[in-house]
Amino acid sequence: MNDISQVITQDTKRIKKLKKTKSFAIPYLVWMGIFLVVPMLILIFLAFTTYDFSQNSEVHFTLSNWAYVFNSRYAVTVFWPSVFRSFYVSFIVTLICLVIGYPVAYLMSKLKAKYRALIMIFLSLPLWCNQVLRIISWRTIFEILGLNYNEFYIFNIIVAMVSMYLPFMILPIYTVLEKLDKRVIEASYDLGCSKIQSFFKVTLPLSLGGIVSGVIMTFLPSLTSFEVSDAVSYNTVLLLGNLIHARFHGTGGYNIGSVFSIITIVFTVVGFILVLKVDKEGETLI
Amino acid sequence: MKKKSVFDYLSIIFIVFAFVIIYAPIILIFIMSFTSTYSLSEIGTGFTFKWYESLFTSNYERLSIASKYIANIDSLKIAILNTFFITILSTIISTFFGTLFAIGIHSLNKKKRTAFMVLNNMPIVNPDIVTGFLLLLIFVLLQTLIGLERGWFTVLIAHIFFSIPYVVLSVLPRLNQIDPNTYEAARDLGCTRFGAVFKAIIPSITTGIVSGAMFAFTMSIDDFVITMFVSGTEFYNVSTWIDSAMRRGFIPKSVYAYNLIIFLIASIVVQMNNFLQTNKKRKIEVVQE
Repeated sequence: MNDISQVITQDTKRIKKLKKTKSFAIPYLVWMGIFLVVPMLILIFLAFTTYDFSQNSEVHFTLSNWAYVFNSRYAVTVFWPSVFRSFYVSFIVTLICLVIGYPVAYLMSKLKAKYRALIMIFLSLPLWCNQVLRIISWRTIFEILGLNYNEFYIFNIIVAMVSMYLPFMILPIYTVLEKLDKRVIEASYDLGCSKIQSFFKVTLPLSLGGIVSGVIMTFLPSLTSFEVSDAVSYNTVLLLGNLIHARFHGTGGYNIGSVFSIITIVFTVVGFILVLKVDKEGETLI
Repeated sequence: MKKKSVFDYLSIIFIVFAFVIIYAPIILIFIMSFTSTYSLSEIGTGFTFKWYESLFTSNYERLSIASKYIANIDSLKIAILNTFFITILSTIISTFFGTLFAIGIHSLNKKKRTAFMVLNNMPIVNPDIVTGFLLLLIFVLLQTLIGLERGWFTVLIAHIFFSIPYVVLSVLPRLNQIDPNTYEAARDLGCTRFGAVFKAIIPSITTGIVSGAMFAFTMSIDDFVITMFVSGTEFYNVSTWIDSAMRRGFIPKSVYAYNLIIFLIASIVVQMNNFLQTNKKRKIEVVQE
């Protein structure tokens, strides 16, 4: 008896030793620590001080950066209008993408495998076309169509953003719908659901994960994009992204830039938690 | 045959609309790259190949391109080479490490794995502008600490940073499919730790690795925002170069030509990949039958 238990403990020890691929994950932790966690700490540090890297100035803790952003002439004339404009634009962009994207993803999932692959390719190919050039091309298209940037700037920005981010709405929804077990839908028919009832009671709730991912992947980029409004409106319309972008050139701008970034990260974290709720492994993110 | 309902027609309209709005700028880039004039009213007239030729020659006289554009085209060529350099290197490095990290994460217990995935997915969900700003901050810190100048090296690190999560996400599902005993069997048969990984695990997850590499390549070749933050003042890739050209108010047509070449190559590669994979699937099906 003793011998056997010894053999077993030896065996489990050996197996534990064999499972050493775990150690491959440790360098990743270090890497992420350096390039994700440390910068976050710097960000928080900069947001609450007036420290300037280029001058290596003294460290004074202060809330003045926050006061400047939220409660000053700048806040009234620039910050709040830009934030509201940003939310307005990205809300509409996300809504349009969802209204167009869901039916497209749904139809794709109903097609034969051959056509599905073809449409997938057509959706992912635009990623190979330079995004900056695509935005500039939209500017040209608006000029050709006579949509003057002084009058139609919001419309133009929305159209260009929908064009940029629509694939990011379609792909996650499609990923979920494709994996959906067809027997569940058949079962709902058997239990007396009509086609429309079955869609709202079965398909839609089961594809919620894709919808959440798609909404986040569309809403966040459009909330923080600066190149679209810069190009389409010839630098005349400010969105949240433009505020961050502007801070990165100016002197001492990193402190205010950090405040903006923290605000953006708060939105991101909210979105991220929503995604985690519906998709733990991040399957719908790619 | 079922009768087509209003719903079917509506759905066709949606698909057409989606494709029009996604492809409109690409069609315009296509037209622009073959148009000789810059005037918008004459768009589509004056067919020419000279913007394509200008990318492959240093003898611009024959193409009758005005001298003030030539400096532009020369700097574009440098930006193109920079882009290839960064993209190829970052793809190779991030695919290699991303795969190893994925193997590591896969062998963790469930709780730790979820924690790792949260960390892994953070750069994907984070808007580019925030990732760019965060990386800029660490590079500024490194500059004050060890004098690291921003340039090709910081851009390369940044590209590796945002590519690895995509590789991990592509490889992990494949790892879930393979037999967990493969690695142990290889160790039992005398492989070293790395030997077992490369001989037993890697061959069975190649499709995941290839799609991860494709992701890394796609993200890197087209990146604009993050590169702009970390590249300093001297180093340009194509995207940041186009942006600075736009801010100067003049975009040379050669860049449209470059972009279309890349687009066509990508289409062919993606098509071929798709073709190979469906062929493989068919073969497997035949064998199984």
